[in-house]
Amino acid sequence: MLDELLSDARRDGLSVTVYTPDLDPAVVDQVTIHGVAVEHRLLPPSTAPFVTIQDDDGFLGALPLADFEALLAPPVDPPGSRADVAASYQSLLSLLEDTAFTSLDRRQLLGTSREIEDRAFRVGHGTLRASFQSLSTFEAQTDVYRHLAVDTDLDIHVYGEADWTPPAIDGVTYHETTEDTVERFWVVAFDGGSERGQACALVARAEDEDYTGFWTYDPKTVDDVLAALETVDG
Amino acid sequence: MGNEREPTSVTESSTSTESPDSDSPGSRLADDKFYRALAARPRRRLLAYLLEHETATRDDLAAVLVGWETTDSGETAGTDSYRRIRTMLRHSHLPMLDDAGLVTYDSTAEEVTLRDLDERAVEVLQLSIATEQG
Repeated sequence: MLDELLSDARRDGLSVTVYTPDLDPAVVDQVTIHGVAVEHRLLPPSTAPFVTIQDDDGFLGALPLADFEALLAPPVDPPGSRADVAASYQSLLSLLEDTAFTSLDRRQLLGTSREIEDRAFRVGHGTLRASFQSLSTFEAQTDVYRHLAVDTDLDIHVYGEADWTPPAIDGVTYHETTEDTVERFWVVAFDGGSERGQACALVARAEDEDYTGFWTYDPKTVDDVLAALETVDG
Repeated sequence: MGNEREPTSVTESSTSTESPDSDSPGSRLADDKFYRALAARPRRRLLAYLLEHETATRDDLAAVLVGWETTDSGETAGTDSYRRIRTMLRHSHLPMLDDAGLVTYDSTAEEVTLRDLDERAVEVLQLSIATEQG
């Protein structure tokens, strides 16, 4: 089911055009890691660089290059300290939401996961489901999730292969997974509680060296992601 | 109407194009149209872009102007801004630049080509773009 959601999110023909006053190949290399077609065009001297994003149907959006780079390597801050960047970051994310990217790395996924956990923290109630592939991966996140569970009324469900025994935390339910399909996935999904507009999810599948994944703020898609985890036994 | 396709009118039109004298890059510096054409930031920007690329489609120019605007505001732009600028290009900016003799705008192919500019006009353009950055 998660595989299906991921293939639905694949938007073919997505491309990025980088506009800079000089042709610095390093800029393009940095964008290429997303696995998206990248074109580079020259701007007049002493102008500020920017990026446009388009698909087969045409223009989708534009943003300053520095903001696009922030999207490629999101800052990893503790929940609650992101309010100052949330607005602009949100608009960047929404530009590319529901689109599967290849070649995502852990740092990018951590940044997006934090964004979702931070939303859940601010709403303070509702259901948050997170799959960590293996529970030993969850170990480094224990403090974050203890904070999320203790300081809110969130109903939190954590999924992973049972290769580590996590500490009991009030409000956190552990689900040991055995299904191979779920164990390949890094998922964080929040239903928004009573605020449907706050629903959001990240789905990423581990490939050989990196991840292919997408994020969404579409409540229906978030429901599908939550349902996919809910059906997992444990 | 009906005689547009007659051979004589085709021959005539080839001799009745604007004379090179009144249309030389330098002579445009005495034309009010030239200054009106430069009197808006989007038009200066698209001319500066064409100095680098010579030819671009209307879609390309709309994407460039929207992207360029995001560096002013620091905000992400979506399809609304794109559609707005694309419309402005067709109905205002491009006809004006074409009329001033600075570009050729083919509204069927949606292609814009820079015409020969006086080097002093190029300098003014480049200066205006460089000054924008403060």
